[in-house]
Amino acid sequence: MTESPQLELGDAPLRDYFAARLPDRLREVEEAWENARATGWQEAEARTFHRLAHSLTGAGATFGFPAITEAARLLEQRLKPVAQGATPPPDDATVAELLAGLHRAGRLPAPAEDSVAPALSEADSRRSVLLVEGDPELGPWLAQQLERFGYRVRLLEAPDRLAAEIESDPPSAILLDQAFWEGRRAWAQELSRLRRSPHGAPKIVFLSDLGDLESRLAAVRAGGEAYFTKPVDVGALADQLDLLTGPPAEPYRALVVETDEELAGECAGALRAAGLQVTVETDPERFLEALATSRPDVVLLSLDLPCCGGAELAAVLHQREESVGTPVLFLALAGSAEDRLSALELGGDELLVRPIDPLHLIAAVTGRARRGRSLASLISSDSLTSLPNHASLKQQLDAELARAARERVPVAYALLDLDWFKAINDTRGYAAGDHLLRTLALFLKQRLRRSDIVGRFGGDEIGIIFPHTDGPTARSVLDNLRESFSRLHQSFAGAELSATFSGGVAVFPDFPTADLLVEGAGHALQDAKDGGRNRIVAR
Amino acid sequence: MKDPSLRRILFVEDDPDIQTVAKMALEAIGGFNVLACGSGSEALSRLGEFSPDLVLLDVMMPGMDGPATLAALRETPAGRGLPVVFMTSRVQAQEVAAYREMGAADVIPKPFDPMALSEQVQSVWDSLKARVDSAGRWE
Repeated sequence: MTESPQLELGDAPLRDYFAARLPDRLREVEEAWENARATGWQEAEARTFHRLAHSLTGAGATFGFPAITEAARLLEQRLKPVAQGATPPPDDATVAELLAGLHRAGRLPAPAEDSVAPALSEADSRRSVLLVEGDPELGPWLAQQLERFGYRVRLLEAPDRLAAEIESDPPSAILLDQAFWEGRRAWAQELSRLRRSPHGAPKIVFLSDLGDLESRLAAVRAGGEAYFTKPVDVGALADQLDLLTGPPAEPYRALVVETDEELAGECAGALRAAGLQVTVETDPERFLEALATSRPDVVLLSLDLPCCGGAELAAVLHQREESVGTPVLFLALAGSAEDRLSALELGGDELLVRPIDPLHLIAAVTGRARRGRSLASLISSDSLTSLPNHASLKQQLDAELARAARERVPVAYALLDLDWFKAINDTRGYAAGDHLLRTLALFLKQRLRRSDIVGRFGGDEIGIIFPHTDGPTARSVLDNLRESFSRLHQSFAGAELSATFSGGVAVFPDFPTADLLVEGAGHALQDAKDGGRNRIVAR
Repeated sequence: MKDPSLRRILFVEDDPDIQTVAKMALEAIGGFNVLACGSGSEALSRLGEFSPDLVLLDVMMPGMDGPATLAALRETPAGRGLPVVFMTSRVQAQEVAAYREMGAADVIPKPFDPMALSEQVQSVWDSLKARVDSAGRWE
């Protein structure tokens, strides 16, 4: 084996490290295939081959190489039943093709530097979109525009390969030209089959030349979740896709108060498996502390607590101003219809009686958490862009700086401002300005890491907190985003609209307080404007 | 009661690259003392010398897989009461329930984000500690 490359932490160094290791790993997989063939696919050799493919799916995802993960998964799935002795070995041509796919994936450039999202393959795979559009101009254009919003788009000019494409790589959404829909019963069956698929059916969005009620009704009947008339407003389409397919910005937080550890553990286990962040408090006396530290979107309270009833705790919860809207679910050992009613009277949203079906638990909790969070975010966010408002952004900056000081790590703070915003408002109208600002907000939310915090600073200024990030990194990320954004053409009120932004970056601890940091970023932004706009300046 | 802070982690994972990055992330970000082992049997043989506070165990490994390693750990005096956390991409509710049934303290889903792993492990530890505090034992 060749000497291992140097490893450093951080998203880009991790990718570099793995990129350097890839040739060795692919060679290992090929050797395993050779061995399997040489031994006539003995069990041990088949298992090794399968295991190496499996390892690559995991490593690809961990190091931020989704294409490797996908290609390795195809190979792994083919080899799994072979390793288990359930099916005969695949023929050489099949394996060669799958390995070629893996090599192709390895040659793909590493994810563009401006997509700094770390290895969260779950989130990545959810953002794949199949676009079925026959128009030779609109199709590629729309695909390109959506790519800039961070979607992985596969374009089909006709729907005949749709089923095969869905099969080989299930998308999270299908964008379908309604013209293809007319008179195709087979499709209706195919789509209703899709909707029963265990992976969660892709969302269907129709694109149409027509906006009349009849066409819209037909789309609804066909299971369409959204309907866009052409010319398509890409910003609004991306917004809708984000709503339909996007995972929450951060996992929902649940607090479980239950003295019985086993039951608490069962509950927490099921919820964690569904991606929630769960805090378990087995001592009801510490309820308030647990609330303060876990900041839950939803609270699960046992009705059978020794010291006080869950209902009393619910009352305590709702007395706190900051958690007056937090949903509460009660857990009970047994419950009649009457109990259920009284639980609801006492401020609970639902009574869950044991044994609780994990799927029901997950659905009940996620649904409440989603509602709880959207209520909370309505209160703390800016109504135009749905970004955290000034006060909320400032609060988060204070918290990040406190954490950074403790951990002795840098934090970059950026202020962005749309160029010629006043001129756009004056010449194209305020609605156009608002539209651009919303698009920029959405663009940033989708392209930055989940840990980065984007907020509306005021006016057309947007503030971004980059935790654990130094100035040059933040500057280069923003510069890539600036470049992509400037190429984004949006349709607004029947005309094309595009814009650029300038940005200023300042870094903690060079600027040691929140106020100085914001001021520093403001000065850098001014430098960027003075330097000719459409640029990023770091102090 | 045991010392409440998490310091020593035994990390068992057959993929050398994942092993490298996880060890480095746990050491550099979490400040933990990490011993990485490439197989269940290596982990068993080095358990005594290292005496970890917690074991992170890959589920799918050649030879002894995660569950087999866990079962073998439970047979040794040093491994009997040790909290063991599985790392796996199979995190359906019933799969997680099955791992817990086997005696896993928790499950960390794969793929993991190296930058967030330390925090995940720490929060697993904290919730374990909460269980210990009130009951004086792990499970």
